[in-house]
Amino acid sequence: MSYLELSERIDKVFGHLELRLSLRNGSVDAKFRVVHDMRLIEAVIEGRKVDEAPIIASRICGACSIAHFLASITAIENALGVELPDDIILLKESMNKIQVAQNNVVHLFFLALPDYYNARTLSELLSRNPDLIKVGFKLNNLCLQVVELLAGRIVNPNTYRIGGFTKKPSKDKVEKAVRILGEAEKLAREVVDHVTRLELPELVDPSPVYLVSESPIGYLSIGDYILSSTGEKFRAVDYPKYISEEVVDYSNSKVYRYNGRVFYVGSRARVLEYGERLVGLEDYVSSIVKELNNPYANIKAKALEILATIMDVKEKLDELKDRDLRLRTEYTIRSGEGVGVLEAPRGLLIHHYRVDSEGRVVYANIITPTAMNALHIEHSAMTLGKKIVEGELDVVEAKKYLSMLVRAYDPCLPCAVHVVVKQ
Amino acid sequence: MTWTLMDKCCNRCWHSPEYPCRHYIRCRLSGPLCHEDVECRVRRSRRLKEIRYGRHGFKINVPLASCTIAAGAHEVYEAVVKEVKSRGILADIHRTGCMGMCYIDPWIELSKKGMPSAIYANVKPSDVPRIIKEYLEGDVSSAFALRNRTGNAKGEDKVPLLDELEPWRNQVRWVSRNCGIVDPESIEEYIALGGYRGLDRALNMRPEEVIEEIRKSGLRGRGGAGFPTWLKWKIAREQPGDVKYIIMNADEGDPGAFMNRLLAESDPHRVLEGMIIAAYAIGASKGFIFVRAEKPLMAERLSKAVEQARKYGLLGDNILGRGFSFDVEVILSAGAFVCGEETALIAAIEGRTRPRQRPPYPATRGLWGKPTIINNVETLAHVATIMAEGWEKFAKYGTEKTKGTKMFCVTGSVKRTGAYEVPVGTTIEKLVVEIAGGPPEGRKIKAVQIGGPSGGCVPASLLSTPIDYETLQKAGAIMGSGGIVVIDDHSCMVDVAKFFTSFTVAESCGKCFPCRIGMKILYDILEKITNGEGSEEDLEVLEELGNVIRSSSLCALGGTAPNPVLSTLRYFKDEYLAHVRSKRCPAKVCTKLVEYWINPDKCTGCGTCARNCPSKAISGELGKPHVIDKSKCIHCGQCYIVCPVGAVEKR
Amino acid sequence: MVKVYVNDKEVEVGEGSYIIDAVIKAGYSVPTLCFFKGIYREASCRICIVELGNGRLVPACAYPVSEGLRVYTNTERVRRNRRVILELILASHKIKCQSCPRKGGFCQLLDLAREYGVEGIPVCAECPLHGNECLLVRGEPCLGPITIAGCGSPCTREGTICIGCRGPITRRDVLVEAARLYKEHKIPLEEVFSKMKLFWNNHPSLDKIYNILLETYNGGEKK
Repeated sequence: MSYLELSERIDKVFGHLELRLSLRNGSVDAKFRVVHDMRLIEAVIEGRKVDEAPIIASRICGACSIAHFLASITAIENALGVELPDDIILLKESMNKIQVAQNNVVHLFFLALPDYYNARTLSELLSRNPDLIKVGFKLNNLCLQVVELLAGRIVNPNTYRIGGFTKKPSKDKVEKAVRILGEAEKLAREVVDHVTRLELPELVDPSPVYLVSESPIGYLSIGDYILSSTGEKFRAVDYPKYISEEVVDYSNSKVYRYNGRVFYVGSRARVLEYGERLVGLEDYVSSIVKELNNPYANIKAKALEILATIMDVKEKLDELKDRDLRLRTEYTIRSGEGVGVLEAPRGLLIHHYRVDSEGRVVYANIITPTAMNALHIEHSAMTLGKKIVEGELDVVEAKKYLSMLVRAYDPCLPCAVHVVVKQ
Repeated sequence: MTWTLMDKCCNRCWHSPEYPCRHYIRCRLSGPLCHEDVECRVRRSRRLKEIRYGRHGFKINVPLASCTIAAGAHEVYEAVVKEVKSRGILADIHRTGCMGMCYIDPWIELSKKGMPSAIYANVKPSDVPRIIKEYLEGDVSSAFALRNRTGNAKGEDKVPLLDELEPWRNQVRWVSRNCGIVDPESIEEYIALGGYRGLDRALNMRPEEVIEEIRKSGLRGRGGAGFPTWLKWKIAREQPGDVKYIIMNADEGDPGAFMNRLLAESDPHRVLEGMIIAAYAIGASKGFIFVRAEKPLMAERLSKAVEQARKYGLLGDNILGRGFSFDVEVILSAGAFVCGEETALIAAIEGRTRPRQRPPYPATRGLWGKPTIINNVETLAHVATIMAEGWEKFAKYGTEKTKGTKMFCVTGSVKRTGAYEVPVGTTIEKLVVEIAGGPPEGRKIKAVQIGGPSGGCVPASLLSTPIDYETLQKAGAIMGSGGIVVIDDHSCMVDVAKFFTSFTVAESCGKCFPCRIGMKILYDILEKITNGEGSEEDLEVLEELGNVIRSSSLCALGGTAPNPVLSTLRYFKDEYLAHVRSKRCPAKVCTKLVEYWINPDKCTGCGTCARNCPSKAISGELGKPHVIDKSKCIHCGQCYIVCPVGAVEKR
Repeated sequence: MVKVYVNDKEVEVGEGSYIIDAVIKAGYSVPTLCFFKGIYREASCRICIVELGNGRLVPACAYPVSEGLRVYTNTERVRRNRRVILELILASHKIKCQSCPRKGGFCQLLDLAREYGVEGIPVCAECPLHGNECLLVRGEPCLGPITIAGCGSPCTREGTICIGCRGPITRRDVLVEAARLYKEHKIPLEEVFSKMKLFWNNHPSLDKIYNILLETYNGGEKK
């Protein structure tokens, strides 16, 4: 086989993308093409008032609007030097966590799982395995209810502004959330039991370097540092020194390298880094941790995260429901620079703003997990390509595995395309 | 007081309202019927002759109706009285109603035994001595028309007969037969010309038979909607209960329509007779005449007619001894266009204001909750005539679906303005061009607006449409009460639509939203368009909104109010487009879209325009041509009006 | 009993009933505004129009039923007419939702405007102010007074300002009233404009809105 070009438009992902794999005389090349139009969100944000930036940022993505909103607002709080009380941070993190759980449910059930049951679409899977999908729908619904209770509405949160929450959540609300989460926990356990037993295609991570935002305590909390699998730890503000960006001509998304290396962000990284902190889930962690050098194993890590975050949020809310909370703090407008990093459902998310003394954003930079993963997806696909070259896979199977691979990363393309080429 | 036909011939006659005689009406003309007495008979026939030819063999008819009075008939009347007195001749100066030919108002008619009756047109008080002198000398050459020829008078051949005149020849004078002939304030004359025969005949029949007679005649309501009159009556007759009402709708409100006024002023007894017949047919015991206070003469004559009828036992208890009791009350209305709508009219009599949702129709639930019939003046006049003449003669005229004749008031840009009665189904062209004489020289008919503010514009290309309820509806207009406004090429159709819309906006009662707010918005948009601020989207809004108002308004006022806009939009879209696209008024009517300029060849430099210009846009030295500064001009058109030599031109 | 067909569904109602009784009995609904059973049946608002089998549009609240009557409550034509009627009603309605006692979920006009997609009523009408401080009073540049209602005001409910994501109301009286409110609460218009640019940057009437707001804001108590 001297020449083969596989060009796949991947379905069942957020947005539109094309993965082009070309095999030529034994050499393999993969291109991860984001074909969305550019959205130029950063340019829209620049020149706006600080309180408007998060509003716009949350519109980057409908699925993970809370992550963008919180990253943006954290960056601005850092820039303005706002000191937040613990209660605010705790609720803020809960908001993020429950959204991670909800996003993971959507990804697992509606995008990733059909492949594992040889179903082309969700409806095909639904007719063949209705009980499983019903669990998914139920779980998604429950998570969304909690999201709505905490964030005000399902997308584009409106309970939080710079400096804290607008209202104290009533005891009824919190109790309701706890009750719902209790229900969700049971379902989530079923899901984890089920997913961890799935057979994955075999593949070895070609570039086992990952970045993850620091969680000072517990899992998925918001910290100021970024950790790498190489053991390096650097302040979020210093990210430009470590993460280099590059514009490629074939895609509407930028690509990123960490210290010149292709790296990965996402659920696998989080479980690898903080898996040991998941109290009560040690069995699950140990059962999947061996597999985690396989990119396909992302779905197992995601399943585990669903349970972990639901348990975590439930515990936290239960704890604070009887407390008198301090949810608002004052701030003053001043000039400054701030970076907000947090773990979005798809991995590390960086928002970086510079604010002038009148409270206007003069510089904005947003790095989304999908953009950071772009190169990693290409490299994984190339590994798959090599298997074809070596004759381990036939082309029809390869096509299927290729889509499954991309889906395992759960890319979100609308998030990835706000490229601005700075002169 | 002279003895009249209505009085007793001798003491053997015993009729009175308390003890009515069955043969009272027939007895008046061919009486006395109850006793044989040559003297009484001679007395009656002599009086009849007197009425026809005047007591002294010389009769001068002067029409006194609102329209002729406005044209100066009062002064003419006084001049005639003065002239007759000063000449010392014996003559009957006789008041009549109007003939309907408004363009010859005021006219007088002279008739002397042995001489042809001559009609003189456009008489001024100063002309009266000359006319009477000439006529008495046997010279009729200056007359407008003659009713008959005798061969005795000078110049007879040069003057046309009335029957030969275009506007007269093509008419069928059915309900308006007495107009311009009888004295409207005299019941005697009406009876002498065959009046109240219809009532007499009807009372000899059972009510069902009367309804059947009307059904056979095919009479439909002349008020506008064209609902079969007999059906309305039948529904009301079949309603249980003793108390029923009849209302005569004499609240004519369309601008440009005056046939009801003309009929009620010139021949009020015919209308009243029709009302009594209708009341008998449905079993009503009380009737109301709802008449406009703004038409005082009409109200006065109707009241007088009612009084006279009551006096001679034609109204009241046990009419003509047939056991039927009926009385009429005249109610002056405050003059609202919406009262043309039945339920609003009823509400006005009850002391409320607005129309209500139909059904229930008034025929089942009307005035004070009782079955009520509302008929138009003209319809009732038709009823009286049909009952007197029989249905066959009436049904001879008209089309398949609509029988009989209809009066139309032709106004606007025509040579012979007036009210003309023609068979239904006559083409618009015949009515407007042949009878009314078409537009003045040098102008062309652009459209004909039929049916008043609720009607629509029919373009010149559809002039051959026969006037009929159905065909007009298809053409986007309605028959309405029969007002026809002829629009020539000097008029802007958008402006016409705006005029009619402004009328309905003012007359909307304000009860339902589509009419109250919708019409106002239509008007605002039209104003925007005539000011040159319209866009093509506005035309779509006009159409959409117009259709909604039409289909979802509460009463017929709102249901027909957008017709002028919709019909002009349908037939004259290009004019609308010229207004919105190139901001130009093709007829040069909308002042904001017209550019004024001074033709230097004509301008004498008098400076009148410059003095009258409110924005000081005109400059120039005295004696030299002036110029208009376009940047200052506010398009008021004042210079165009004041220029004594017509040098200001539009372009 | 009279047999009536509502949207082709057969239903029997007593004699002397009105279409609306039949419609309700058949399990359908028509919107009403002026109708109050037993008190007011004048059919003046016309919002309850339905289409009859013969194509006529009649108000359901005041049209008596007759044997075999066919009624259609939700045809294209009915909806189009209702929409225009609603626009007319709103055009004549004094929109001062901020001081209206029916705000916060009791406004029938608002429900209808939402159902038929008619602009006119601002978010203030549904911003449930019960026990909730108006954000304008706090001095925040809330776009509630000039944004089309219909979202259920999730933002103001949670205490964050309305950012106008449903688009602006372009009616002059609403804007004038809003400018008056902004002035009363001493909210600088620049902040309001800044918020307006979030979603309405390309709105064709943006300049007009700016001008009306500015005019009224700076125009003092001129009426």
